[in-house]
Amino acid sequence: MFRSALRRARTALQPLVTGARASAPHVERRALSTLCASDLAAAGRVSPVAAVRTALRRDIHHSSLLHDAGSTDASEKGLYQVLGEELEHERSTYVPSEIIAAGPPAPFELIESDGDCEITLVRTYGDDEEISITFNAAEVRAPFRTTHPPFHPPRTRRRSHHHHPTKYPNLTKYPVHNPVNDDRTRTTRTTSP
Amino acid sequence: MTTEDSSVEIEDDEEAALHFIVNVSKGDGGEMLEFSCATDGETVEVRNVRYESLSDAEEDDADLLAATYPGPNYDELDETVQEEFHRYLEARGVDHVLANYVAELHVHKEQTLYVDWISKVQGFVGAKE
Repeated sequence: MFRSALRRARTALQPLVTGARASAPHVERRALSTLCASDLAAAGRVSPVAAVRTALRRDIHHSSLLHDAGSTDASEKGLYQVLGEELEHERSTYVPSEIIAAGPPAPFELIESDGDCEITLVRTYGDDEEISITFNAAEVRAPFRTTHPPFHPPRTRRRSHHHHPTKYPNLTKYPVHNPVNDDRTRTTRTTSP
Repeated sequence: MTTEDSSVEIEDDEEAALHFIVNVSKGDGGEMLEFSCATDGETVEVRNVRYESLSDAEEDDADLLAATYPGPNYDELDETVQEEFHRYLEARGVDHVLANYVAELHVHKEQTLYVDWISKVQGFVGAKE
């Protein structure tokens, strides 16, 4: 329950997070760790979002890692050391969720590569359908509203497997890849759903 | 409704949306439906549906993209049509389970990229010092 609330609270407080120069997942975990009894009580009485927000705001204002870079502590340590501490903290505290550990829902396959923000999930359906789901991990989430303004997404380029090379000789100028047959890492779910 | 209730309602509306594209292609990619979707990690919301066909193509990709009809304003589609598009995607596994995974994967990938970024920046700064 609180993970969902954290995501919502994180979005609401994105400007503060950005200003504090901390990663959003990091802020989420910090906020979760600071949830106290009164927050949980508030969650039962009001909403988990309000409770997490309270914790998140408290965390942002009191975390030493999120203090302004001009503080005495940070300037004495130096950027290299501060980054090293942050790196060590992230590596030692982050644990992927069970959902991630279980892999994509069958029969989807995950296609990604290190350092690449684009993630693709692919599967086949029926005799001749190919389904691909693509999103960008660097995208900053926007408020999710069911009553949204008219949405016309930016035009995306066709992927290479949609092209006929003899019919479209100019396609090579576009750096596209085939999400189904490319050589990026594939992760297939090994456990039953 | 009390002031507190109103406040809670506003807060609960502030879900975090993650946008993703679902491509359904047939016949070696000769035809394709492109669904622009958003999720809060629990539900999938379709926001646009575009049809593309190689037979629509002209000389190159840029011309193709410029000329292709982007699809109607999705909100103005008949509700039954919207519901059937939703079912169409659900039949292909684009459902609440996938939405949950996509949301979790977004956080996970972002975390991975962040750690990689710290490591690279630290290495860069260290090399300068």
